[in-house]
Amino acid sequence: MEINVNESNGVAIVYLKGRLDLSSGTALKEQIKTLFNDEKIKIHLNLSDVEFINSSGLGALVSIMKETRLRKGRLSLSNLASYVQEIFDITQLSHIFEIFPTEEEALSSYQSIKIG
Amino acid sequence: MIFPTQLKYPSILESEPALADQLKKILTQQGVSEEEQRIFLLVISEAFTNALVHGNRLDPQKSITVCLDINDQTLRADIIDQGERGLEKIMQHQMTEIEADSGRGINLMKHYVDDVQFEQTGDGGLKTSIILHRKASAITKC
Repeated sequence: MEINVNESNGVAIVYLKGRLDLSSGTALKEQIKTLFNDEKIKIHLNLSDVEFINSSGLGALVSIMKETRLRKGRLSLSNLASYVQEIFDITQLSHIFEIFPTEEEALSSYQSIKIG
Repeated sequence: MIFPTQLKYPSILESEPALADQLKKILTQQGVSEEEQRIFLLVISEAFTNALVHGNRLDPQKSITVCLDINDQTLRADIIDQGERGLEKIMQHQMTEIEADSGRGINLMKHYVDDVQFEQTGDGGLKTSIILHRKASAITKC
């Protein structure tokens, strides 16, 4: 999986490309840990290029969400392909993640909500 | 390709994407529709990850065997590990709390396929059998 990080108005935007499975989920958690170490606690994950996700990938996202919450930060997701959204719905994770149709909508929501 | 066919992988993290690549080639070659491929690859990935982590505990000396059978009516895969007390662990599996880090794989398998069965092998490993009945409209004829 390719992981690229950008930043906009204090929000770290993480672009994921490829498979989100056991191996890449571990790599993603490591990448997010480096953001936390840099005191970046507003994280947005753009999943538009995720071509596959399984329960291990979902587990990595849940783990990141809980860690973000512990740090009193915020995690959002956007651009889920229909089959990825379906898996979130089946596992009921769509109820606990903040999911936006587009990255723009997600980022503008950060402007109207103040953390901490 | 003659079915059933057998694929064997060492218990290392890299084996899962390697299996996915190989399966995708085989399924495409066999004219399996993209939708059926997506479901079949997901459920095999769940069973394979279970074998890798909970069965063989990522021991590279142990291998995972995937037996694949494809015909016009069904897609079938048997995923066999060399772990211990695999069936017992499966029987203890319970519905996962919504915010748990793991434990969703079995539920996803059961959601997507027509039949999933777990069986203990002679040496204590776990054999997971997945059967997906094909939709007539999804079968690509050459």
